[in-house]
Amino acid sequence: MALKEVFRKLSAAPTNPQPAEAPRTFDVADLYRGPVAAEGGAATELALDEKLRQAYFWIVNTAIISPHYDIEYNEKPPLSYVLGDSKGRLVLPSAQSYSSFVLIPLLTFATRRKCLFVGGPGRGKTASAVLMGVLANYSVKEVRRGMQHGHPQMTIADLLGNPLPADLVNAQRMEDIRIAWRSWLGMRVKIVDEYNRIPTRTQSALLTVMGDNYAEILDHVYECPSAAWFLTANDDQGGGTYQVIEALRDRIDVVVQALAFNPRFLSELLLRIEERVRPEDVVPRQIVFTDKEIDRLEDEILAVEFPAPVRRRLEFFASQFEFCEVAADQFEYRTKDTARLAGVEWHTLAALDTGRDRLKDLGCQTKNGISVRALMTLVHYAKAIAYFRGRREVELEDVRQTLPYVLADRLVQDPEAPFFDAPGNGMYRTDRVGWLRKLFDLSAAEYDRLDLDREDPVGSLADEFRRGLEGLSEKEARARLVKVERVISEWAKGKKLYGHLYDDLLELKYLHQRYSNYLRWVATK
Amino acid sequence: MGSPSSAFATVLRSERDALNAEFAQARKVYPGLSGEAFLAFLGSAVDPLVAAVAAVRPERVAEVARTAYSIALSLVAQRLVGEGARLASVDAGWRTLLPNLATHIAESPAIVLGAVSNALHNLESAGARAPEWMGTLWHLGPSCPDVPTLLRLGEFAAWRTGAAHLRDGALRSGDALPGDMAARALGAPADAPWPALRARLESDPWFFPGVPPGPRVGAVVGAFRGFGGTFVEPPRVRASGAHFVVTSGEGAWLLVADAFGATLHRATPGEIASAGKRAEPSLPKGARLDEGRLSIGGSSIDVPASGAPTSAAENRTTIALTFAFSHAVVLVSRGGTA
Repeated sequence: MALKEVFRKLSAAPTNPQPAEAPRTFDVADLYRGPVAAEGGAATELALDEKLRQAYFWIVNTAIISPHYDIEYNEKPPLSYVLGDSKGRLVLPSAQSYSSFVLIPLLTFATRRKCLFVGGPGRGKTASAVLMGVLANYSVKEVRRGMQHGHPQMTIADLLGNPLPADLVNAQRMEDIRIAWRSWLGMRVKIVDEYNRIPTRTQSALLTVMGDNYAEILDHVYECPSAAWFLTANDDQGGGTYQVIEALRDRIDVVVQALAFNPRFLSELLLRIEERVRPEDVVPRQIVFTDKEIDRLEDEILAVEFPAPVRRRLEFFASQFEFCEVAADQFEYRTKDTARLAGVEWHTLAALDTGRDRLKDLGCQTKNGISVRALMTLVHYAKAIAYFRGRREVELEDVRQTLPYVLADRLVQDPEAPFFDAPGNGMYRTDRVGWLRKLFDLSAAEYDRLDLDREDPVGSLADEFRRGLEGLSEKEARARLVKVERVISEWAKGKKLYGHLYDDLLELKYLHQRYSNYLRWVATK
Repeated sequence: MGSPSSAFATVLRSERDALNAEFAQARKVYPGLSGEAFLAFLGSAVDPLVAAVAAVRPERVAEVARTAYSIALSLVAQRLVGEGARLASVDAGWRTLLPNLATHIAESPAIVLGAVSNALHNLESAGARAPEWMGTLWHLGPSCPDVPTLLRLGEFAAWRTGAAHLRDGALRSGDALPGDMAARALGAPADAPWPALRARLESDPWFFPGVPPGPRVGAVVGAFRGFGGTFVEPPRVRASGAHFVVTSGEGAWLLVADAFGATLHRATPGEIASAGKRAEPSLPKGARLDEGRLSIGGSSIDVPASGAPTSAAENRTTIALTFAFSHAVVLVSRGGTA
């Protein structure tokens, strides 16, 4: 071919061949989709997580004026501004973010757990609780009549019910006495207003219902269905007309604060007053959940995966707080709980020098550790928020965002700890949510510094053990015992003992004991 | 609003606060919502509907009234019914068709009221024959044994009254209709067996009961935009599988047509790219056009030609033609002469 022709040669068309577009198909069901949102019917059935999101957005856009985004998610680094003499930061999150005052109760509704609303009077605590009742397919009347109002004269009978007077007189046996149970006991959303005004004796009866899901009068038992609980109080310190018993406080899963009303939204309030609108009267049917749907919600939430890397970071965080080196000689008893049970003043122990860095040691910031119940609640809420966001796997941020509301009333701060005297940390004495998130961030940073995803000898030994002892030879078992002992010897060489190391050592002792028992058994074969 | 029927009045009284609150909430979303217009619609359209339900299923009146109130509020707010409504058929459907479907409305008020409203909206927007659809449902709807059957009838009738793009799904809906309902909705003799009708319909989009086979003008689709049509300029047409792609000025549409109607849908870039070769005025092989008379396969028919042909396209069953002085696409059934 002549040179000129080479330059004239064009690529044959098409130069970027694409497959022919498939013929368009039309769905006859589109005939019935249009400006009227249809209810019911398979064609319009929403995924439950989408329905939950719709409920959230209806509440924040229409029902409760809560223009707050304190549960912040980011897809990329957010914009932030430093403001004021105290150098406070205003963060503009880069992903969809939420109001805790609406989202946490909604997640409580979806998981059938227990939420305490705290805040000054008139801030929407009771109104929010009533909305949750309406979302559960109860009428406003039923919700209001089922609400229990705490007051100093409240008796057990007021709360649970009465034996029928005629039966009391005539019955020859306890079994013949019939009880007129209060109807609220059978509701799937239970509301207790001002629970800190309930007398102590009646609180015990409430504890049985909240903790064990049954009520008892004169040996007669009423089994309550599982329910979401919403309690209100003007403060969360357990004070009020009566001191709230600790066991009752501990049954509460999350604490959420009613945030201050922003007067810039007064026009919204004005419209409601003028039109006599009460949000609970206009809840759209599309976001009301049936019992079956809430059952399904629970199942779907529990099915959300909790990946191992996230779980490990949570384990590391939780292990920071219980350890108290000077509380006992027996290794297992070296905990803050041991000291508390002995009635020793916390500050006496805190002042004792153990060589640890009291600024760096996160355990120094608290007077107690995290209970099993709190950990289980945290896992449940992390799954719930991941589900709400449409994810099928929990992310670390999900744990970080829900943790402050779960631990608000459970991880007790020691405001005298040196951490709070450091510059810029003083405000964490009052900002509990910020403090708990800071704790988690510091823990995560330490986890990364120790490179525990890659350098975790205890984790490796534990994984090896979990593969089972079936067919394990005596030689191999002894080798594993030696590995355990070697790790402990390494750590015994002058390493300062922090919370996570304490838990690791207990796990190593556990592994050592299990292998030792196995060797003894093998020797008898 | 004049005095409502006692059934409706009872519901309005007992749920006054909630219904007023719902109206106030709707006004927040639709600031232009007129209380007078809504009241007027309640009185003239919703009240008769509630009274019709009260006559057949009095125990369902409260549920129907509440649902009808909510849906009517939404429709009035969007100016789809009532004074100044953008579309006439939705309003007409509430006044004339729905009271005749009282039994089905009582069974599932939200589904029936929503479905009928949306269907009328979609049919009128697509240029189908909404009044004819209402007529079919008025006559045959009460015979439907339940709500799902009523909905299947609605789908079948929508295609039959001009929503050609719903053909495939509608034929399946016809399978679900009881007895001779599909044949009657089609306009075929009542004793014509549906399976045989269906086979004819599937093989030939131009099959029309009672019309003899053979080439004929099947449809004339489109008009000048200034007269309420779609096209700014005289269009051009190209083949696209079983349909056609029509271009006019900057726009392009997918044309779906059969014996019962035609609809235009904005074409995707993929559909435009994969349509037949560039629109040309050449007639298909064996066809001849002479002063408005098209000869094809030994037959000869008159076509509404206006000026010289500007483009022609064909598929297995249809020849599409456009002309220099016309804003329409002429669709000719081959009548089995392919």
